[in-house]
Amino acid sequence: MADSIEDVFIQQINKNLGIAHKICRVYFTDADDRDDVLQEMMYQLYKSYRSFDGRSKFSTWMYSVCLNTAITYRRKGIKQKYEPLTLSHDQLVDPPSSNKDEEINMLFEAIATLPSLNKAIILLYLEDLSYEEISDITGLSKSNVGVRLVRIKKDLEREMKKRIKYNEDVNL
Amino acid sequence: MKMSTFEELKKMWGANPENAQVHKPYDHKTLENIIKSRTKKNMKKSMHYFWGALFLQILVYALLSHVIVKYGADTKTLFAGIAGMLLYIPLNILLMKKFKQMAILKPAQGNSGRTLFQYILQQRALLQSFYTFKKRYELLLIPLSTGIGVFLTFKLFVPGGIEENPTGAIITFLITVAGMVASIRLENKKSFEQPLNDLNRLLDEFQAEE
Repeated sequence: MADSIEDVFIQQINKNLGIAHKICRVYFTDADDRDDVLQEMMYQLYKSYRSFDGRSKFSTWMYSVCLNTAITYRRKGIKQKYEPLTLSHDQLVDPPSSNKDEEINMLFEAIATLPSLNKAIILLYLEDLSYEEISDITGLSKSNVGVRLVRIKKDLEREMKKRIKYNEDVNL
Repeated sequence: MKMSTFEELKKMWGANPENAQVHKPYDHKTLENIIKSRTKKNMKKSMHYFWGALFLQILVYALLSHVIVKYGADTKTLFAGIAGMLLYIPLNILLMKKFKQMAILKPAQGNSGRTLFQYILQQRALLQSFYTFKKRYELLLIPLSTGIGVFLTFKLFVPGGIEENPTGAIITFLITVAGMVASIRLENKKSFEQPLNDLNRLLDEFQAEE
Protein backbone atom coordinates (compact mmCIF):
# COMPACT_ATOMS: atom_id res chain seq x y z
CA MET A 1 0.00 0.00 0.00
CA ALA A 2 2.30 2.70 1.29
CA ASP A 3 5.15 1.56 -0.98
CA SER A 4 3.23 2.83 -3.95
CA ILE A 5 3.30 6.48 -2.92
CA GLU A 6 4.17 8.29 -6.11
CA ASP A 7 6.98 10.83 -6.25
CA VAL A 8 4.76 13.25 -8.08
CA PHE A 9 2.22 13.06 -5.25
CA ILE A 10 4.85 13.89 -2.62
CA GLN A 11 6.22 16.73 -4.72
CA GLN A 12 2.77 18.22 -5.16
CA ILE A 13 1.96 17.82 -1.47
CA ASN A 14 5.21 19.51 -0.43
CA LYS A 15 4.69 22.31 -2.93
CA ASN A 16 1.24 23.02 -1.49
CA LEU A 17 1.89 22.11 2.13
CA GLY A 18 1.10 25.65 3.28
CA ILE A 19 -2.56 24.99 2.38
CA ALA A 20 -2.89 22.25 4.99
CA HIS A 21 -1.03 24.27 7.63
CA LYS A 22 -3.14 27.38 7.10
CA ILE A 23 -6.39 25.43 7.28
CA CYS A 24 -5.18 23.81 10.51
CA ARG A 25 -4.26 27.19 11.97
CA VAL A 26 -7.63 28.70 11.10
CA TYR A 27 -9.71 25.79 12.38
CA PHE A 28 -7.80 24.55 15.41
CA THR A 29 -6.26 26.37 18.35
CA ASP A 30 -4.92 23.28 20.08
CA ALA A 31 -1.48 22.10 18.92
CA ASP A 32 -2.32 18.40 19.36
CA ASP A 33 -5.51 18.81 17.34
CA ARG A 34 -3.52 20.55 14.61
CA ASP A 35 -0.96 17.74 14.44
CA ASP A 36 -3.65 15.10 14.45
CA VAL A 37 -5.77 16.73 11.77
CA LEU A 38 -2.71 17.45 9.63
CA GLN A 39 -1.92 13.74 9.60
CA GLU A 40 -5.54 12.95 8.83
CA MET A 41 -5.37 15.38 5.91
CA MET A 42 -2.30 13.61 4.52
CA TYR A 43 -4.08 10.29 4.86
CA GLN A 44 -7.23 11.57 3.15
CA LEU A 45 -5.17 13.16 0.38
CA TYR A 46 -3.34 9.89 -0.19
CA LYS A 47 -6.61 7.90 -0.21
CA SER A 48 -8.28 10.30 -2.63
CA TYR A 49 -5.30 10.90 -4.92
CA ARG A 50 -6.18 8.11 -7.33
CA SER A 51 -9.49 9.75 -8.06
CA PHE A 52 -7.85 13.12 -8.74
CA ASP A 53 -8.33 13.45 -12.49
CA GLY A 54 -6.42 16.69 -13.03
CA ARG A 55 -9.46 18.59 -14.29
CA SER A 56 -8.95 21.12 -11.50
CA LYS A 57 -5.63 22.44 -10.21
CA PHE A 58 -3.90 20.25 -7.63
CA SER A 59 -4.06 23.12 -5.13
CA THR A 60 -7.85 23.50 -5.60
CA TRP A 61 -8.32 19.78 -5.09
CA MET A 62 -6.05 19.89 -2.03
CA TYR A 63 -8.07 22.77 -0.55
CA SER A 64 -11.20 20.73 -1.07
CA VAL A 65 -9.91 17.57 0.62
CA CYS A 66 -8.23 19.45 3.49
CA LEU A 67 -11.29 21.60 4.17
CA ASN A 68 -13.59 18.56 4.10
CA THR A 69 -11.31 16.88 6.61
CA ALA A 70 -10.95 19.91 8.90
CA ILE A 71 -14.61 20.81 8.93
CA THR A 72 -15.81 17.31 9.82
CA TYR A 73 -12.93 16.47 12.16
CA ARG A 74 -14.05 15.49 15.62
CA ARG A 75 -11.89 16.69 18.46
CA LYS A 76 -11.01 14.31 21.24
CA GLY A 77 -13.80 14.71 23.77
CA ILE A 78 -11.78 15.80 26.78
CA LYS A 79 -10.31 18.83 25.03
CA GLN A 80 -13.73 20.26 24.34
CA LYS A 81 -14.15 20.80 28.05
CA TYR A 82 -11.54 23.56 28.04
CA GLU A 83 -12.75 27.09 27.81
CA PRO A 84 -11.88 28.86 24.57
CA LEU A 85 -9.10 31.45 24.80
CA THR A 86 -10.13 35.02 25.49
CA LEU A 87 -8.57 38.25 24.23
CA SER A 88 -6.45 38.55 27.36
CA HIS A 89 -4.81 35.17 26.68
CA ASP A 90 -3.51 36.55 23.41
CA GLN A 91 -1.21 38.83 25.37
CA LEU A 92 0.90 35.82 26.33
CA VAL A 93 1.97 35.31 22.75
CA ASP A 94 5.38 36.65 21.75
CA PRO A 95 5.03 40.10 20.25
CA PRO A 96 5.06 40.01 16.47
CA SER A 97 8.09 41.51 14.76
CA SER A 98 6.21 44.15 12.75
CA ASN A 99 2.85 45.82 12.37
CA LYS A 100 2.18 43.70 9.29
CA ASP A 101 2.82 40.49 11.22
CA GLU A 102 0.63 41.77 14.02
CA GLU A 103 -2.19 42.47 11.59
CA ILE A 104 -1.86 39.07 9.97
CA ASN A 105 -1.93 37.43 13.40
CA MET A 106 -5.03 39.43 14.25
CA LEU A 107 -6.58 38.41 10.96
CA PHE A 108 -5.95 34.73 11.77
CA GLU A 109 -7.49 35.22 15.22
CA ALA A 110 -10.48 37.07 13.78
CA ILE A 111 -11.03 34.34 11.17
CA ALA A 112 -10.95 31.75 13.95
CA THR A 113 -14.07 33.38 15.47
CA LEU A 114 -16.15 32.83 12.30
CA PRO A 115 -18.50 29.89 11.73
CA SER A 116 -16.89 26.93 9.92
CA LEU A 117 -18.21 27.60 6.44
CA ASN A 118 -17.35 31.31 6.54
CA LYS A 119 -13.81 30.41 7.63
CA ALA A 120 -13.47 28.30 4.50
CA ILE A 121 -14.83 31.04 2.24
CA ILE A 122 -12.58 33.80 3.55
CA LEU A 123 -9.53 31.53 3.54
CA LEU A 124 -10.10 30.67 -0.12
CA TYR A 125 -10.69 34.35 -0.91
CA LEU A 126 -7.45 35.40 0.79
CA GLU A 127 -5.65 32.67 -1.13
CA ASP A 128 -6.77 34.47 -4.26
CA LEU A 129 -9.10 31.80 -5.56
CA SER A 130 -11.80 33.04 -7.92
CA TYR A 131 -15.48 33.04 -6.94
CA GLU A 132 -15.93 30.16 -9.36
CA GLU A 133 -13.24 28.10 -7.63
CA ILE A 134 -14.68 28.93 -4.21
CA SER A 135 -18.08 27.89 -5.52
CA ASP A 136 -16.64 24.61 -6.87
CA ILE A 137 -15.00 23.79 -3.56
CA THR A 138 -17.83 24.73 -1.22
CA GLY A 139 -20.89 23.91 -3.31
CA LEU A 140 -22.35 27.40 -2.88
CA SER A 141 -23.47 29.43 -5.88
CA LYS A 142 -21.14 32.20 -7.10
CA SER A 143 -23.63 34.88 -6.13
CA ASN A 144 -23.98 33.39 -2.67
CA VAL A 145 -20.19 33.40 -2.28
CA GLY A 146 -20.19 37.11 -3.19
CA VAL A 147 -22.97 37.97 -0.74
CA ARG A 148 -21.32 36.00 2.04
CA LEU A 149 -17.92 37.58 1.43
CA VAL A 150 -19.33 41.07 1.90
CA ARG A 151 -20.78 40.04 5.24
CA ILE A 152 -17.68 38.12 6.32
CA LYS A 153 -15.42 41.09 5.57
CA LYS A 154 -17.65 43.32 7.69
CA ASP A 155 -17.56 40.80 10.55
CA LEU A 156 -13.78 40.52 10.32
CA GLU A 157 -13.30 44.29 10.24
CA ARG A 158 -15.46 44.62 13.33
CA GLU A 159 -13.54 41.86 15.10
CA MET A 160 -10.15 43.28 14.15
CA LYS A 161 -11.09 46.80 15.24
CA LYS A 162 -12.17 45.35 18.57
CA ARG A 163 -8.80 43.66 18.92
CA ILE A 164 -6.85 46.76 17.90
CA LYS A 165 -8.79 48.82 20.45
CA TYR A 166 -8.21 46.20 23.12
CA ASN A 167 -4.47 46.15 22.43
CA GLU A 168 -4.32 49.92 22.54
CA ASP A 169 -6.18 49.99 25.86
CA VAL A 170 -3.81 47.37 27.29
CA ASN A 171 -0.72 49.24 26.11
CA LEU A 172 -1.85 52.59 27.58
CA MET B 1 -2.56 51.34 15.03
CA LYS B 2 -4.68 51.95 11.94
CA MET B 3 -6.35 48.96 10.39
CA SER B 4 -5.46 48.19 6.76
CA THR B 5 -8.18 47.86 4.16
CA PHE B 6 -9.24 44.36 3.17
CA GLU B 7 -7.41 44.59 -0.15
CA GLU B 8 -4.23 45.53 1.73
CA LEU B 9 -4.76 42.65 4.12
CA LYS B 10 -5.17 40.31 1.16
CA LYS B 11 -1.86 41.49 -0.28
CA MET B 12 -0.17 41.09 3.11
CA TRP B 13 -1.64 37.61 3.37
CA GLY B 14 -0.13 36.65 0.04
CA ALA B 15 3.24 38.11 0.97
CA ASN B 16 3.26 36.66 4.47
CA PRO B 17 6.29 34.37 4.90
CA GLU B 18 4.08 31.76 6.55
CA ASN B 19 2.21 31.44 3.29
CA ALA B 20 5.41 30.60 1.46
CA GLN B 21 7.08 27.23 1.66
CA VAL B 22 8.42 27.33 5.22
CA HIS B 23 7.05 24.04 6.50
CA LYS B 24 9.27 21.01 6.65
CA PRO B 25 8.54 18.96 3.53
CA TYR B 26 7.52 15.33 3.76
CA ASP B 27 9.81 12.61 2.51
CA HIS B 28 8.74 9.14 1.39
CA LYS B 29 9.45 7.56 4.74
CA THR B 30 7.53 10.11 6.85
CA LEU B 31 4.51 10.04 4.59
CA GLU B 32 4.54 6.25 4.53
CA ASN B 33 4.62 6.18 8.32
CA ILE B 34 1.70 8.61 8.56
CA ILE B 35 -0.37 6.59 6.10
CA LYS B 36 0.47 3.30 7.80
CA SER B 37 -0.38 4.63 11.25
CA ARG B 38 -3.64 6.22 10.03
CA THR B 39 -4.66 3.06 8.21
CA LYS B 40 -3.93 1.11 11.36
CA LYS B 41 -5.85 3.59 13.49
CA ASN B 42 -8.91 3.48 11.23
CA MET B 43 -8.76 -0.30 11.02
CA LYS B 44 -8.43 -0.48 14.81
CA LYS B 45 -11.51 1.70 15.19
CA SER B 46 -13.48 -0.62 12.90
CA MET B 47 -12.07 -3.74 14.48
CA HIS B 48 -12.84 -2.44 17.96
CA TYR B 49 -16.51 -2.54 17.04
CA PHE B 50 -16.11 -5.88 15.30
CA TRP B 51 -14.39 -7.52 18.28
CA GLY B 52 -17.03 -6.09 20.61
CA ALA B 53 -19.81 -7.63 18.51
CA LEU B 54 -17.89 -10.90 18.15
CA PHE B 55 -17.21 -11.11 21.89
CA LEU B 56 -20.92 -10.59 22.59
CA GLN B 57 -21.78 -13.30 20.05
CA ILE B 58 -19.35 -15.78 21.60
CA LEU B 59 -20.67 -15.01 25.06
CA VAL B 60 -24.30 -15.43 23.97
CA TYR B 61 -23.65 -18.62 21.99
CA ALA B 62 -21.48 -20.16 24.73
CA LEU B 63 -24.10 -19.43 27.36
CA LEU B 64 -27.02 -20.63 25.27
CA SER B 65 -25.16 -23.75 24.07
CA HIS B 66 -24.43 -24.61 27.67
CA VAL B 67 -28.12 -24.16 28.56
CA ILE B 68 -29.28 -26.24 25.57
CA VAL B 69 -26.84 -29.08 26.26
CA LYS B 70 -27.46 -29.17 29.99
CA TYR B 71 -31.17 -28.40 30.19
CA GLY B 72 -32.31 -29.11 26.61
CA ALA B 73 -34.49 -32.04 27.70
CA ASP B 74 -37.07 -29.49 28.68
CA THR B 75 -38.83 -28.29 25.50
CA LYS B 76 -39.42 -24.71 26.65
CA THR B 77 -35.79 -24.27 27.66
CA LEU B 78 -34.63 -25.79 24.36
CA PHE B 79 -36.81 -23.44 22.30
CA ALA B 80 -35.83 -20.39 24.33
CA GLY B 81 -32.14 -21.26 23.84
CA ILE B 82 -32.54 -21.77 20.09
CA ALA B 83 -34.63 -18.58 19.78
CA GLY B 84 -31.88 -16.63 21.55
CA MET B 85 -29.26 -17.99 19.13
CA LEU B 86 -31.34 -17.35 16.02
CA LEU B 87 -32.17 -13.86 17.17
CA TYR B 88 -28.55 -12.74 17.14
CA ILE B 89 -27.37 -14.22 13.83
CA PRO B 90 -29.24 -12.17 11.18
CA LEU B 91 -29.27 -8.97 13.18
CA ASN B 92 -25.55 -9.04 13.83
CA ILE B 93 -24.78 -9.82 10.18
CA LEU B 94 -26.85 -6.81 9.14
CA LEU B 95 -25.29 -4.63 11.83
CA MET B 96 -21.76 -5.50 10.72
CA LYS B 97 -22.64 -4.91 7.07
CA LYS B 98 -24.03 -1.48 7.87
CA PHE B 99 -21.05 -0.65 10.03
CA LYS B 100 -18.62 -1.71 7.32
CA GLN B 101 -20.47 0.49 4.85
CA MET B 102 -20.12 3.45 7.20
CA ALA B 103 -16.63 2.96 8.57
CA ILE B 104 -14.56 1.14 5.98
CA LEU B 105 -15.90 2.34 2.66
CA LYS B 106 -16.25 5.93 3.77
CA PRO B 107 -12.69 7.25 3.25
CA ALA B 108 -12.26 5.81 -0.23
CA GLN B 109 -15.55 7.11 -1.53
CA GLY B 110 -15.97 10.18 0.48
CA ASN B 111 -13.31 12.76 -0.10
CA SER B 112 -12.61 13.08 -3.77
CA GLY B 113 -13.90 15.78 -6.03
CA ARG B 114 -16.94 16.51 -3.92
CA THR B 115 -17.93 19.95 -2.78
CA LEU B 116 -17.90 20.69 0.91
CA PHE B 117 -21.71 20.65 0.91
CA GLN B 118 -21.91 17.27 -0.84
CA TYR B 119 -19.27 15.82 1.47
CA ILE B 120 -21.10 16.90 4.63
CA LEU B 121 -24.41 15.65 3.20
CA GLN B 122 -22.83 12.28 2.46
CA GLN B 123 -21.29 12.03 5.92
CA ARG B 124 -24.63 12.81 7.52
CA ALA B 125 -26.49 10.33 5.31
CA LEU B 126 -24.07 7.52 6.21
CA LEU B 127 -24.14 8.25 9.92
CA GLN B 128 -27.91 8.78 9.99
CA SER B 129 -28.54 5.56 8.09
CA PHE B 130 -26.39 3.52 10.48
CA TYR B 131 -27.88 5.23 13.53
CA THR B 132 -31.47 4.63 12.38
CA PHE B 133 -30.71 0.98 11.73
CA LYS B 134 -28.92 0.64 15.08
CA LYS B 135 -31.89 2.12 16.94
CA ARG B 136 -34.33 -0.27 15.25
CA TYR B 137 -31.96 -3.16 15.90
CA GLU B 138 -31.71 -2.28 19.57
CA LEU B 139 -35.44 -1.70 19.89
CA LEU B 140 -36.04 -5.26 18.76
CA LEU B 141 -33.02 -7.01 20.24
CA ILE B 142 -32.94 -5.60 23.76
CA PRO B 143 -36.45 -6.53 24.95
CA LEU B 144 -36.39 -9.89 23.15
CA SER B 145 -32.98 -10.99 24.37
CA THR B 146 -33.67 -9.70 27.88
CA GLY B 147 -37.00 -11.53 27.88
CA ILE B 148 -35.30 -14.78 26.86
CA GLY B 149 -32.54 -14.22 29.43
CA VAL B 150 -35.01 -13.56 32.25
CA PHE B 151 -37.16 -16.54 31.24
CA LEU B 152 -34.16 -18.89 31.24
CA THR B 153 -32.74 -17.52 34.48
CA PHE B 154 -36.03 -17.94 36.33
CA LYS B 155 -36.71 -21.30 34.70
CA LEU B 156 -33.32 -22.72 35.67
CA PHE B 157 -32.50 -21.02 38.95
CA VAL B 158 -35.71 -19.80 40.59
CA PRO B 159 -38.05 -22.49 41.89
CA GLY B 160 -41.41 -22.13 40.16
CA GLY B 161 -39.97 -20.14 37.26
CA ILE B 162 -41.66 -17.01 35.93
CA GLU B 163 -45.08 -18.62 36.26
CA GLU B 164 -44.91 -18.51 40.05
CA ASN B 165 -42.79 -15.32 40.28
CA PRO B 166 -44.27 -12.97 37.70
CA THR B 167 -43.59 -9.80 39.72
CA GLY B 168 -39.94 -10.72 40.30
CA ALA B 169 -39.54 -11.61 36.63
CA ILE B 170 -41.09 -8.34 35.48
CA ILE B 171 -38.93 -6.30 37.89
CA THR B 172 -35.79 -8.13 36.75
CA PHE B 173 -36.78 -7.57 33.13
CA LEU B 174 -37.45 -3.87 33.66
CA ILE B 175 -34.23 -3.27 35.63
CA THR B 176 -32.15 -5.05 33.00
CA VAL B 177 -33.81 -3.19 30.12
CA ALA B 178 -33.45 0.14 31.97
CA GLY B 179 -29.72 -0.49 32.54
CA MET B 180 -29.19 -1.38 28.89
CA VAL B 181 -31.21 1.60 27.65
CA ALA B 182 -29.25 3.98 29.88
CA SER B 183 -25.86 2.75 28.66
CA ILE B 184 -27.00 2.70 25.01
CA ARG B 185 -28.36 6.24 25.28
CA LEU B 186 -25.02 7.44 26.62
CA GLU B 187 -23.18 5.74 23.77
CA ASN B 188 -25.64 7.02 21.17
CA LYS B 189 -25.37 10.57 22.44
CA LYS B 190 -21.59 10.54 22.20
CA SER B 191 -21.14 8.54 19.02
CA PHE B 192 -24.19 9.51 16.97
CA GLU B 193 -26.36 12.35 18.26
CA GLN B 194 -23.56 14.83 18.90
CA PRO B 195 -21.81 14.17 15.56
CA LEU B 196 -25.17 14.36 13.75
CA ASN B 197 -25.92 17.67 15.47
CA ASP B 198 -22.52 18.98 14.39
CA LEU B 199 -23.16 17.94 10.78
CA ASN B 200 -26.66 19.44 10.84
CA ARG B 201 -25.24 22.69 12.21
CA LEU B 202 -22.75 22.75 9.33
CA LEU B 203 -25.54 22.15 6.82
CA ASP B 204 -27.55 24.93 8.43
CA GLU B 205 -24.65 27.26 7.74
CA PHE B 206 -25.02 26.49 4.04
CA GLN B 207 -28.70 27.30 4.10
CA ALA B 208 -28.39 30.38 6.31
CA GLU B 209 -27.96 32.91 3.51
CA GLU B 210 -29.52 31.12 0.54
